[in-house]
Amino acid sequence: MTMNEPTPSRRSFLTRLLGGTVLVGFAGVISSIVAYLVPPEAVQSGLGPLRTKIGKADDLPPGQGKLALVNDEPVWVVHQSQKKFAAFSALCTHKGCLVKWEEKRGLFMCPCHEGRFDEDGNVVSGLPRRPLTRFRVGLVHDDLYVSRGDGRQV
Amino acid sequence: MTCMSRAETGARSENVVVDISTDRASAPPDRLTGVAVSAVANLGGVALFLFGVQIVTGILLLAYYRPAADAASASMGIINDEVRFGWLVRSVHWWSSDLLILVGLLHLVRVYFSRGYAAPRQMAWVSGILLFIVILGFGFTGTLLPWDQYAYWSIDSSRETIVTIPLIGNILLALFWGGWEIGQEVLLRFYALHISILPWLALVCLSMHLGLLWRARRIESSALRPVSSRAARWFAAGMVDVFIAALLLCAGLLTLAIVFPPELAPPADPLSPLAHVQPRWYLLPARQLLRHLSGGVASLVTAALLALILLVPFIDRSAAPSSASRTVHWVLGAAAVAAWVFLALRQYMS
Repeated sequence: MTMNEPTPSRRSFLTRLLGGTVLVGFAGVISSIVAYLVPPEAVQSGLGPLRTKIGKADDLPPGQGKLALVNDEPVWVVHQSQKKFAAFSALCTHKGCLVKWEEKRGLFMCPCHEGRFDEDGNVVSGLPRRPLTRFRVGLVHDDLYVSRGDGRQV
Repeated sequence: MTCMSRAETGARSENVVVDISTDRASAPPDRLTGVAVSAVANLGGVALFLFGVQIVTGILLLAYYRPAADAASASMGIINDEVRFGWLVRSVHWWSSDLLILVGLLHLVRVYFSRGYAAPRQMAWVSGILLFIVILGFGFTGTLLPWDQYAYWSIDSSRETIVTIPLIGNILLALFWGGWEIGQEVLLRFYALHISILPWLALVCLSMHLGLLWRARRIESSALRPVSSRAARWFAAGMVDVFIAALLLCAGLLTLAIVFPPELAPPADPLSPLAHVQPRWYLLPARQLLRHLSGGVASLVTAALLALILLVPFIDRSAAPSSASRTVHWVLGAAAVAAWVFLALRQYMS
């Protein structure tokens, strides 16, 4: 009978232990770095996206409007005519109520104090004095996107 | 006979350490002293490690930092409060920069007292001093980048200092400041210096420094280590020590960074000055000097001191200095260190 080396031998055990420790340490550092590089929920902290996708342009026939949230702000996107789109903040410039797009009359109606705006956001009647805040709309590969007019982050 | 001498040189080379009193390879002292000695002898290695940490954390900070006057402070707030481990990355960057300057200073002092600059290492000394100046540049430009109240007003007080430099003061301001006030231009230029110009300068100085030292060590040890396999073993043994040292340094650095993270002051406000703002600790002696000397004299003194430090290896050239010149060497060094500490403390107390 021959004396066998204990398996694994002390040397190879220690080598593996050391290698494993190094590997775990590196994994810890690398995963921390990956976690750091994944951006946080930073919409409210100013790192938000520059545009918000509304949907397919074909899903919004002429005359219809669609209410969407652009960075927590309600925005109406209206298909005025023949691929001509416009977007306005849905907040009435009078007291901040949510205006509604009346498809048949082509007007934004405010339920609170009878404010009315036309399809370009201008005041038609009622208590509001300023037009609705306009947003930029863009058609990118058949998708509708909304962005703030002044290029600020939405 | 040849066999014996080979074994002899082999045995010697396995136990080689660097003697800090001469910077030459020599027989090892006992174990505990050996550890302390090697820690002091390897301050340059510690600095190199900290510099590596600076590069990694600096690149990570680039992912979120925005160098604009209206956004910098907010982006620092995001790094500090919202990004996962953001506060830690910033804290490690902050701590390793301060420690890098501290360790660099200690390394410089150690090399001076052990005459580590003697031939063939004169240019290694010169490149090391230049590298240290570049690192001070990193510290100075980096101070402004958080764009908080402390950053703004401490750099603003340095601006008042730079104006007093005769002849070139205003040119320096125009070039590096982009104007005479602290505004958007300064922030952008300091940012450009910090992340693109100084790194290249540092790389050039560092590769000179390491290359020259490597060559000097090879010249000295070629007689000592003729057998390449022995050399390879010695190298492998050395690498384990380096690995252990790096782990210990990581642990120390992380502890400091976690327990004492740097503050983020309110955003910079050019209309509400901070009362009594001190520069960073490494600029304290210079500020104290300026209190007592006019800008012109202080600039001359600084330039003369810098020239003197750069020329040390060419002034002190003898291979076997007399005991009198050893004393002068020691007294000059001790006086310089004492003056530095004294000026720093005085400014700190003021």
